[in-house]
Amino acid sequence: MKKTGWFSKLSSWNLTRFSVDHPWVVLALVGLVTIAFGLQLPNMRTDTDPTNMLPANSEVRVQNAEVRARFQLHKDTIVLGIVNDGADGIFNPGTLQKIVRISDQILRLKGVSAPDVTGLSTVDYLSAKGNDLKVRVLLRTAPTTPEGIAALKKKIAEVPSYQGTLISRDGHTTAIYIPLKKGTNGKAIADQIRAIVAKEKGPERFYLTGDPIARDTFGAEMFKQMFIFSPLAGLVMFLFLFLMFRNLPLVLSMMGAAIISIIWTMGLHVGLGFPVHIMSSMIPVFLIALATDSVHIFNEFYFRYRKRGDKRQAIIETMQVVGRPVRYTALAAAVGFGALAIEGLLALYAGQYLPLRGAIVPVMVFGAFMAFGVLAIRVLSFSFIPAVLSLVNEKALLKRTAGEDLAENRVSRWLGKLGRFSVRRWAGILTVGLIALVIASVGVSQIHVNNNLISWFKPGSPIRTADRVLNARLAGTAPAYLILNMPTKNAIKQPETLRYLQALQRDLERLPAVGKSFSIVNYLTRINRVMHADDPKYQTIPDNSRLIAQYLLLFSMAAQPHDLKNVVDFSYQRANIWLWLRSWDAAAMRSVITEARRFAATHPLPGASLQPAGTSYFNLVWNDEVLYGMLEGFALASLLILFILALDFRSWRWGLVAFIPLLATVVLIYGFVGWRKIDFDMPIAVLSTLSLGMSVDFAIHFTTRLRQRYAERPNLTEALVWTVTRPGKGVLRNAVLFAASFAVMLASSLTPYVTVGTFVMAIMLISAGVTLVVLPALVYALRGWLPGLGAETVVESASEYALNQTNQEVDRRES
Amino acid sequence: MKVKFKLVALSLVALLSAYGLSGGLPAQAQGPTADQIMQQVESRFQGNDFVAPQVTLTTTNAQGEKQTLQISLKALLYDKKDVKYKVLLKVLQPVDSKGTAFLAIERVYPQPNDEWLFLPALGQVKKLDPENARNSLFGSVFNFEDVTGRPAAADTHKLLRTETVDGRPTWVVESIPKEPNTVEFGRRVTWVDQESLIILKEELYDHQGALLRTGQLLKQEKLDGIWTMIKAEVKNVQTGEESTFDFGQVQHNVGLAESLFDPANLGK
Repeated sequence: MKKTGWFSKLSSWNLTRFSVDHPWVVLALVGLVTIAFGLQLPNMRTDTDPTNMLPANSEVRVQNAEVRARFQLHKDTIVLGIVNDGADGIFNPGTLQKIVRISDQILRLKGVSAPDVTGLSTVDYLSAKGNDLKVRVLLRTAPTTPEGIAALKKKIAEVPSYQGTLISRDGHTTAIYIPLKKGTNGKAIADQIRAIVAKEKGPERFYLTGDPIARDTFGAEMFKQMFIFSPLAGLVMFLFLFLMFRNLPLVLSMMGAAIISIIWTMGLHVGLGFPVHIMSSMIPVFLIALATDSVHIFNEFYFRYRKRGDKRQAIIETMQVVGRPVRYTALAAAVGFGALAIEGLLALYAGQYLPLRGAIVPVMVFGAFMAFGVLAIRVLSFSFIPAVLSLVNEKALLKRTAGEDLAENRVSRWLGKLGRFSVRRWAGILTVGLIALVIASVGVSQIHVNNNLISWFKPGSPIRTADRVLNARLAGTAPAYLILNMPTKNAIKQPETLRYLQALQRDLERLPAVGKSFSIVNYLTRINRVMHADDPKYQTIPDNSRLIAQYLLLFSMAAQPHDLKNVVDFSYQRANIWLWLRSWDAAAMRSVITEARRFAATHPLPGASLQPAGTSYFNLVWNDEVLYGMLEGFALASLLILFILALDFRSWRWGLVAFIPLLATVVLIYGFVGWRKIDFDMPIAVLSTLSLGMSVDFAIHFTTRLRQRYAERPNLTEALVWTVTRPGKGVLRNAVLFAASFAVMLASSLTPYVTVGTFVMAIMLISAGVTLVVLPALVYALRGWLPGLGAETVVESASEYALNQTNQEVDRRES
Repeated sequence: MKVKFKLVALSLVALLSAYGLSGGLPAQAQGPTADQIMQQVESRFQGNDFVAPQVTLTTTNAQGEKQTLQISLKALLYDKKDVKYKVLLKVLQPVDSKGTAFLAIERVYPQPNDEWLFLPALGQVKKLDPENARNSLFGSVFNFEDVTGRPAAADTHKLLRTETVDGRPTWVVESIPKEPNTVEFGRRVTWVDQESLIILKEELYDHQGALLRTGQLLKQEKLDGIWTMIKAEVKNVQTGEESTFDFGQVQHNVGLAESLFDPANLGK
């Protein structure tokens, strides 16, 4: 016992024996603790706002808040598209009346920032007739006569800034931009707008999109799906377990361990006051998945119990043999997840000394509580599960075990063949594996980092359809800002500054990602034209800064207050260029920033600086931070796990070999992501941590048991085949169980869940495959290099030695 | 003079009711109705004309930045059926807008007002035809109706209660616009000074019922027997912007010439 130390003393020997001897005490204790944690759950707060992925004092959030305050902008805007594909487009009395009616109702919704709503029926139209300057809302009441409609059409056509934002090129589509007041739930407003448009009958189609809807709909859906898919995954797992073991109490004990660990973890999560974020919402599903590790316990228990018939002894022996790998897999998984929290803490508190950039609080919270959950599962494996096993009716257990033998033997025979194949064809297997790794590595190098909240919905979902339709017909649904900062007050009123803005806008509008831009220049050129008897020649920036100042004074008195405030700051030192981007992709905003930098470098304006802002910019920053945070966490976790493996096997070489399945799985999965040009987004990044947790699990079980076996019978081929056959069955069972329970997520309406489901299945099957096929080949190939595979037998600790003797006896009797 | 007499009479009634001297009368006869109060506010006697040669209009935004505009104000008052006021504003500061002039002819509701603007850099007088009278005054939180007074007939009024503000008895009146689509507020509560008939305090609520703007009179004086607003401030609580309007020196009945208020003379 000396060798395995305090960890084993604490969690294995005493706890298991105690649990078998006093099962009711253990069950009562577990029950009480579970109730205590469970009582916290009703206090659950959820936070689905991606903004909170970064701390409130992060640079991008501070800057964005400042920009919003300076230009009186709203964080969230919903876009309602109204489409009529009839011959006249929207230019018929019916559709125009609907536009007016709908927008009047929208203005009255609580949470909508009414003065800032922009649409045909709220926007100002400035016109001149002789010396008369007229300012009117473009569409106050819908015209009913052909002449009235023709006049409206003409007005709309003559103002360039309406094109693409308020009206599509073909006149079939118009949009209403609906900014929300701070703290308003986008989905709630969207639902009310849907109810408003649902009352309208006619040929029009309505499309609703925008970041707040995506965010809040996703938030609401996410928790719904969490409550559907966690139990569903549990149910599927239950069925598969039952098919494998045909013993209800046994299966229930394992399910119980999973559910109890979820209650403990989420209870602690809520109890400590952390709101449940997108990432934490995945904890229950992940814990159910990781709880399947207990299959190894049952697998071994079955072998032993069948042969000995003494239940108590079988439990204790099982925990002795499986205990070590189970403990180390738990430790490795906990360290893997914990690394996410550790990385964040390092980045937060030692960021200036270390090349770390990710300090994403929700990622840290996720990592920390996953680590807790994994440890909780293990504690339950050594206490709760043995306690339940000791209470199971022996007769029923015996009957079942005899029955399950037949079917299982076929699997065992097949695994035996597989093991022999791996050893015989080791060179071929390793060559194929190496080629696959090289191809995958090329794919990894081509990974495309991107996050797009809209694409988290399925292609046919209303919001994604709306986004697609409106982006195709209008200038774009993703707003972004580019701020021009000048060193002095009133600098924006200078003609040269305005010409700089105009040139920058023209430059940016050439980007494929930019559908349209708008700035103070657009107002000034319009006013200049209107003040010169609507002469198109004057659609220019005046050369006289006094005239510009006077136009602006006039405009501030004639227009709606927000018109000017949204594009220029209070002291005319900063200007805001509005950009309509055609996509929420981080890449779209990245192209804007790159182009703006290039423009600034080639068009120097003394003292000028450009600063990106807005939700699109936030998404870009957040995207990078989260992904780098995950990658750094992943790298740190890999190192720690390698260290733990080496510690477990008391050998760097064995540690490296056991590390191979993990590495290969990750490279293969992300190679596929790279080759298939799948966006490397947050859900996919999260999976990397899960693959750590699972792949290492298989490798530890395999390697530990292989070395135990070899120590008993120093025949490498025989030991490898045995390991593939017996603990390998546990690995296979675990993988199938895991894959099956995650398959239910393929039915989800949210693509991140589908992605998680698909990739978890892939991770399980690949890591099981690598463990059962490549690892034996690798061990065989490196037999001269790996310590302990010489002729002499490694002497294990006294108790394990004794156990090995029994094992040998059992196996002899069996054969 | 007729107006003046009516006003005095009403003020007397108001005073009596405020001091509870009209004790025996039935409830509705205790004081003027809300409509009467707002009518009195609108037709309050302010002399024949007045001049404020240096008005300071200061606006501060939520970030604490400040903008100051200096203007001169001249007003001609009528008690005719058609025209109520003619108001002429001229920018003195900042320099880049100096000479910009704004002329408003305010007519009896519901006739539309006439507005003219002169931009010196353009050298032209333009007739402005805005959507409504509640556009911003030179980019401040104030709007034109704050200067000219909102027509009583544009709203329906309800007397909520009487209240004392800074030691002065007021009527608290709630007003709901008859044409809500043309104004930014859905409800307005005003505290009307029972003696001067000047609004001491107001609260504007948006169409969703949220507080939008608060305003208060900071100083009023009785000059030549006429109650005169001297200084007022308004704050848009939703944007955090705040404006102060300081009339400075005000003179009544100086005998302004009609020709000053001719659009053709704006640039002179």
